[in-house]
Amino acid sequence: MNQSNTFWRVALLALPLSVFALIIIWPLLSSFYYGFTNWNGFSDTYDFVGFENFGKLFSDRLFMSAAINTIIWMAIAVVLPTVLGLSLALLIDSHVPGGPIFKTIFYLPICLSAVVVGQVWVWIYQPDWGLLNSIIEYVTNDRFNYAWLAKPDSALYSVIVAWSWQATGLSMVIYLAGLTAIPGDLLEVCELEGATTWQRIRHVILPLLTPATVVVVALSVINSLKGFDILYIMTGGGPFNSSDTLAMHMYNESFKKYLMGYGSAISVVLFLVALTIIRLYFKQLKKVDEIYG
Amino acid sequence: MSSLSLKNIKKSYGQHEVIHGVDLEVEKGEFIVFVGPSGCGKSTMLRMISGLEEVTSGQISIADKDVTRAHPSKREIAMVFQSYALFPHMSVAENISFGLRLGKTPKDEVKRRVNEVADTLQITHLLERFPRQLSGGQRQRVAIGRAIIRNPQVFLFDEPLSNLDAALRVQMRLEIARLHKRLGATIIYVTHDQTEAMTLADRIVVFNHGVIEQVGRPIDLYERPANKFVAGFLGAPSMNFIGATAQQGAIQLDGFNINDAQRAEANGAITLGIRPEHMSISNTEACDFSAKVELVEELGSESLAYLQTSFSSDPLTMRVDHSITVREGDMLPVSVNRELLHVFAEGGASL
Amino acid sequence: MADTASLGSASGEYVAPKRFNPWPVVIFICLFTLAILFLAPTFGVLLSSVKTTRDIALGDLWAIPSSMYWGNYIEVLSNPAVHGYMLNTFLVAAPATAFSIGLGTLAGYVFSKLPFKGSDLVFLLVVSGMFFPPQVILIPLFRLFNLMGLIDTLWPMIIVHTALGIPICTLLMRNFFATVPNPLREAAILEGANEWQVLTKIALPISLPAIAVLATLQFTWIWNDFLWPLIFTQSDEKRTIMLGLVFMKGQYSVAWGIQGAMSLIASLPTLIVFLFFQRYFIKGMTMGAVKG
Repeated sequence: MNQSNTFWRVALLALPLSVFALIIIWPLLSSFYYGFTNWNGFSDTYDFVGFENFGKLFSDRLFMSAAINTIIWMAIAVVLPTVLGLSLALLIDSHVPGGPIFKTIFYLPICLSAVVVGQVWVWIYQPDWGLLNSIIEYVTNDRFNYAWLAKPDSALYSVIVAWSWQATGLSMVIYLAGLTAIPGDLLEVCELEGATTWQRIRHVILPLLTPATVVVVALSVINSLKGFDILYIMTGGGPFNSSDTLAMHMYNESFKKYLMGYGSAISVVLFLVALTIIRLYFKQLKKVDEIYG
Repeated sequence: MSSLSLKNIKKSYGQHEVIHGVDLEVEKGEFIVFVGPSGCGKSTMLRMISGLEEVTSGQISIADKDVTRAHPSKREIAMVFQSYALFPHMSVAENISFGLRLGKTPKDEVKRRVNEVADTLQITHLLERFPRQLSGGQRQRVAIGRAIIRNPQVFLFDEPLSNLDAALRVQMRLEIARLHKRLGATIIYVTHDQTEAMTLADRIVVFNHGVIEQVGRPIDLYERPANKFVAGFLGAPSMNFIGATAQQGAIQLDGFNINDAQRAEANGAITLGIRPEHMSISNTEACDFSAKVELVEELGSESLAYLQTSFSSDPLTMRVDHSITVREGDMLPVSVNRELLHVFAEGGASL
Repeated sequence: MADTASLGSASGEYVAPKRFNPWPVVIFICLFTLAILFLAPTFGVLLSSVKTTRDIALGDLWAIPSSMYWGNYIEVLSNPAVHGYMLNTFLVAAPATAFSIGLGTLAGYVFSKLPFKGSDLVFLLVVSGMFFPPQVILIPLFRLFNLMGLIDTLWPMIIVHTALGIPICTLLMRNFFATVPNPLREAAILEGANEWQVLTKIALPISLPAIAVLATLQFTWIWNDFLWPLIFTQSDEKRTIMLGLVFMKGQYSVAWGIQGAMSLIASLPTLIVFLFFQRYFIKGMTMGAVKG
């Protein structure tokens, strides 16, 4: 029995694990390796440059601003889709008529590609006939043609709002799943104890949604780190690199300037940040799992 | 010819030994019940016989063939699981014939044998249905059908009735007993329900902490338990245990007129065992002890009286015929049948 | 409860006093407003696709059209490049979806039914793969496929998406197989089945819902992907639809109506999958997220 189990373990795991190792693990490790070289993307030869690439990160003003933008993106990603997703979930969970239809509407953007979402939002922000400026003009009754995506002050935030529009649906369904997992008798106890709706939400539902919140916040942060496509479509990191993120900066350095060694160094940073977040996430998940089962 | 033989079976998980050397010989056609509290090792033992678990050491023979290291499917056994383990995506007929079809048995023969088995179990009308469309009892029958079709040397039943409601359990118990008679099959049956054990078994094997406490006919185990554990485990409600002392065979207990009960080997701290059905309300003044009724449970045909005594901190349970009215708070004179009194040494062994 | 006096009413039955509860109405209005806001971007694309560029430029994009203009769709659908993009995307998405589910099924089966010492750790390693930004493996993969001479073919995309799908597929399949009772496997083994037969004849047929979940998720993600085609393709013949969308934007730079029609056509397969399999979609997203 034992021998045959070992045989099947090896037989069944061989293919998936070797594909995973070759396409995910090995490149991950070799990113570290290339980070110490000055490979340019085409030539067969390259030199080791030691820690030069990593040292360069600190003097690279574009890298620093990309890092700050990434942090801003993460911070907003923690708040916006989470709060909005939670509110929508609570509203829909209150047995309002048409609940499933609302759910579909808020969730729909998730099936659209970042390219399409980006393009749609470019039109929302369009200075002359975009929806946003049209509404502002309608309300203020005055001419308004601010170019949201073309101004360094607003470009990054405009992209993050568009990104959040798509991310909210996921938060909402995770919260909805969390809400259905709350045992009905707990809510009946609330009723028997005479708790108001607000008290019930504040003291029972929100604490019991902690596991869902951990997941929503973590996914938002992790996905914000991945945010690339939508940025590429909407601003391309511009104007004047004002909306660059780490992922964007890495792409520009590697595939526009062909500084693959330097790009690898940036990707190593990206990896370490992601690793820290993921470890925190797993730790929190474990903690939450111990309490909430 | 021995149908199943276990020789010094041991099982460890890492450093932790859970089965500490089990020996057992089972004759062909015997109905053996493994009984014991949860975690006693009875299910592990059954799974080792089936081959789903490996033995750490020892030897298992089925029909005089050593199968200790054989693959489960080569052991000529069939198993009925607690959850029945019916494949939800297969019809009853497909479930029953699964093994035959894996073995590439010709279609005609598969069909013939499925019909034969369905006939035996009276489930012919269910053959095209799926498990989800069956009641608990019907699923049970399908699971048994899947076992029968294999013509095994030994049938293994893993708590097969515990998922059924009380009424159905009694009915299925009867059916399994009938089936055993008709097939003349060797059956190893695991349960934690002592009623099932007492009613079904030719011989009961009592497990505790990974060892066999006692093997024997149900009535022998009831009348002559080898130790305190077996005595306490079999019989419902269970035996009353009272701590006492003995000197040179004479038992002494304040408030209990028991000096006349002699056990030659008894000395020092001992435990008295009295079954609830072996106590009675004394008609005469001459009683063994007097007790105050703490609580009465009326079960219809009989009542259970819980008695406070001067010599036992736990209340004693006594069976009372329903014709006798007992009220809470009554003081009762109680006498004990001396022949049926059990005495256990300090380690628990029966004296 | 407060009004016990009404207990002795004429009918002899207690009738709760009916008060108007405004909350459902308020909530409905809230949700309705938010829904309109949420739909606006998508609706804008829909509107643009049936209007002429001139109408849009004049500022009439957000008005309900008085008549439908189908010229944009005709223009897009008659463009042979679009056919190529769609075909390429399908040729990547279909096999990569199938392969990743297949590999995830194999791994998930072992992790749930044949665990071994340290298997939890290996599982965690595989699953954490889905959280990392793809930029982390971009350069080495570019070099690998460059050396193999596969740049500007569909192969790198198929291979990479197969590998990137392994974490989520393994996770979901393991979690689903965990709900398949162990006695089913054991019963099959007693009947003489080997692990491959248990997997294909018992575990997989029971797990068809999980496969459906994964198929919808994977197909959508791969169809919508932009980064990998951007890295691995060079010629127009090998572009996928999302990449094509971006490059055709240049061609039709101010033809917003055509861009709108293009976006809709590009999104159509995933929209259809979403609307028909929404249940699976949501299940997969939440399962993948919560159980991570």
